Order: sequence, then C-alpha cells, then structure tokens
Amino acid sequence: MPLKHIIYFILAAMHLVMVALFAGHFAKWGNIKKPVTQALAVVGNYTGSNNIFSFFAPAISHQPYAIYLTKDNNGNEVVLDLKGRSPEFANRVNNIYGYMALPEGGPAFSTSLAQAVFNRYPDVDTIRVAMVVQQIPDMVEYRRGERSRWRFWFHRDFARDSTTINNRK
Amino acid sequence: MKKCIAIKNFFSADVPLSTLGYFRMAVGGFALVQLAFLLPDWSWLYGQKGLVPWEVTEALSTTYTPLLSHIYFLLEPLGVSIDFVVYGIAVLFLLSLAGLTVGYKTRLMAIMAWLLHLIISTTGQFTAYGVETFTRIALFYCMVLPVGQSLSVDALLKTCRPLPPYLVTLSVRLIQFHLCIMYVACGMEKAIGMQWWNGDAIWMALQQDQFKTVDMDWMATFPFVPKLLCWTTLLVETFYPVGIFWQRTKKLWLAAIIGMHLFIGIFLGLYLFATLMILLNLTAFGPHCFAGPAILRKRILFSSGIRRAVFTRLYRQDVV
Repeated sequence: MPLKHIIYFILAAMHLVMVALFAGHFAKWGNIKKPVTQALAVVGNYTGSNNIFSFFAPAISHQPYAIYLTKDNNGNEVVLDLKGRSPEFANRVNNIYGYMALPEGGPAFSTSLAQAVFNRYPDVDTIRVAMVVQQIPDMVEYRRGERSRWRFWFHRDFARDSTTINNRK
Repeated sequence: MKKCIAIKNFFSADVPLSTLGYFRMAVGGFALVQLAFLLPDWSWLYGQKGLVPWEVTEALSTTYTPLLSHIYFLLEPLGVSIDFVVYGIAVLFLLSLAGLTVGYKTRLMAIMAWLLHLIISTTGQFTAYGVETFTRIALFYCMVLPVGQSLSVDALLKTCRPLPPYLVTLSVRLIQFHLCIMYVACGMEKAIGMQWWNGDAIWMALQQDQFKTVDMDWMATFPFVPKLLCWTTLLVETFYPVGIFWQRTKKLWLAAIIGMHLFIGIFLGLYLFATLMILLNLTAFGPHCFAGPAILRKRILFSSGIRRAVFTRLYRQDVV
C-alpha cells in the first residue's frame, strides 16, 4: 500500500477517534490538559467531530417558553408570541428559550429577545418578557387526572432605550 | 490472523462509487431545501439585529469560527451594507449548494458550501439544533471525500481523475462509522435515563406543545405502547453497528431507523431533521443493504448501447 493511502487511513482513523471521544463527553473526563481539549474542540468544530449526541437524552424535561407583554405609548397592552414566516422558525426560537432557562443565559437572551421585539414593533414602549414552563405529568399522574399546565417562572421588564427596569421571580 | 484478513476485506470490499454520488446529491439537495425554509426569516435568524444580535453571539462565541460580523468588518471599508453581507452570503450559499448538488466543480463548491454553512450556523448558533450539526458533518464529508466522481457534471465532462477502489470504500466506511458512533452514543445516553425504560420519554415528548402535532393522550391508557417504542429506540440505536452490518438484520435495521426518524418527523414536527437523517442513512447504507436491486438496475440499463455510454460516463469506475 503506498504511503499516501496509509496517510488517508490514519487521518480517517484519527477523525473517527475524535468523533468517538467527543460523543463520550471526553472534555468532561477531567485530568485532560485544557489547551489540548480546546485545540481539539476547535478542530472538531471545523470537522464536525466535536458533537455530543444527547438528543432527547437522558431525559425529557419540562418545556420553557417566553411570552411578551407589550405596552405602547398610548397605554395599550398586547400579549405577543414570536412567530416567524416559516414553520422552522418555531424550532429555532424554542432553542433560544432553552438557553434562557439556564441561570447564566437568562439575562443575555431575554434582553436580546426584548430588543428583537422592539425592532419589529416600533410603537412598543415597554416589554415584559415572561418565562413560563409547561409542566407535564407522567403517565401515572395523567391517569390520576393531572393535566399539563403552564406555570410562571420569572419575568424581566424592558423599556425602549434603557436597560432592564425590573426582575421578578 | 483471520481477524486481520476480515478487517482488510472489510476495507477493500468493492463499494459502488455511485454511493458517494447519491450522498452528495442528497446532502446538497437537502441543504437547498433547508435554505428555502429559512430564507423568509433569514434576517431574524442571522441578521445583526436578529433574535440574538451579533454582539451577543460574538461575546459568547468560543470556537474561533468566522461569523457574519467578521465578514462585515472586512467588507465595511468598501462601503458594503449589513443587509448586503447577510443576504449576499445566503446567495453565495445557494449557488455553492446548487453546484454541489449537480456536481459541477464539485470540490470548490463543497469547500464554499461547508465554509458558508460554518459561518451561517455559527452566527445563528443559539437557534441551531441537531439538523445544523448533521448538515455541517455532511458538508465536511462532501468537501474532503471524492463525492464528485459519480453522478455529476464533472464525471460527464471527464474532469475527474480515476479513483483507486480502496479510496471509495474508505470514504463510504468513514460516513458509515460516523453514523454508527453517533447512534451508539445516542442509545447509551438515553439508556441512562429512567424515562426511556418506563416509556415516559416518548410520552413527555409527545405532550410538549412545541412538538405536539397529533393528539396522543390515549397513550397514557395503554402505557405499553410508549414503553415498547422507547425500548425499540434503545435497541435500534445502541446496537446500530451490529444490526446494520450483519447480513441477516441489515435490512430490518435500516427500516427500523428510518421508521424512527419518520416518527420524529411526523409526530414531533422536526421535519428537516428527520429528512436529513433518513437521507444520510439511505445513502450511506442503502447500497449496502439493497445491493441486489442496484445490480438489477445496472443490467436493465446495459440493455441499450446508448444508455451504456451515458451510464459509463456517469458511474465511471462502477462499470470497469
């Protein structure tokens, strides 16, 4: 086998080893020097070998969602739901709601979404971004009569041309 | 020694070159459809003042990957507007995908498509989900593997150099192994959770308003149904490498995994993700699982001299 072919095999093997390592959460194993992990993560990001395949795993949690209570300069209040023009938009925006549910992600992403609503609706003066969560009973609870329900989680208030004016849990 | 020979045979067994051609067309075609789905909301997803503004994406980006804001920074001195950059990249992406799908200047088009997808998906990383992950993986393979050698304009124009068969086999095995690793990891991660053993995982997913497309409340009365679906998912995913490569089970496994993705598409509303996964499975393992029909097709095509000439050009080495 020519050297070129051997090199191809080695490269393919290395790529697959990286796929397997990242799929096995190797960055969280500990005792691995951080620069090495970071370098591999960069290579993996370009080659598509740095993914963790945790689709619907290990469990499915309650669903977070955001609604927007807006008020214009005449005092009219409207509750908005962010909708796009394509059915794919809902999947995308739900992903942001997932990040908003994280303690470190909440402020940045709720501010981003409030700004997006301000940009789309020029008449809106203030926005309350309310995070709600859909609590789903398991099958045993459902048979006992419990039903899924939306519960308020937290909210953040925003005014046009100013920073957050209020946070509540 | 026998094991070494078996491994060598596995990597030297003839694999139809057209497998890579189908893979390229499936990936390119799918990415074009995905682009068409996203274009109406393009500026919301990727614009400077979109759902997640560029400032936030830049601040939270840790992957040393180019972003749309970097492209704008480079082009701003030329008087280029932000919208021009955002939509210009979309047009370039569309052209590169069209070129990739038909196999015209395949390598160049694949590099462009991969790079542009990298920029776009990283800019919209907080809106991206599994479908972006697999599109990036597939476009990377289109870039590095000889996917333009078959069923392509390049093959018709004879602009490709002949490939040694081992390289075709290695390329197809690479894609197949990546899928195997992915499914094993998926299956094992699911198996850690109790919900996947008592059936609540399927129940919970079907009850979420974001995914709910069909009323499946009746499942609570017949809990063995979601439990069976969960167990089947665990089995099919965790033992995917064995099931898909073993002669006796390969067709069943391919059908089962496609069935699983169809379920995700229909009942959870993740149409694009399901379509991509079905296409990847069909192109990577279709010829392996259904070698018979492919050979039959060749025989039918060979019945005509003209067809043979076209076929030889399209498939090149397959016909040697």
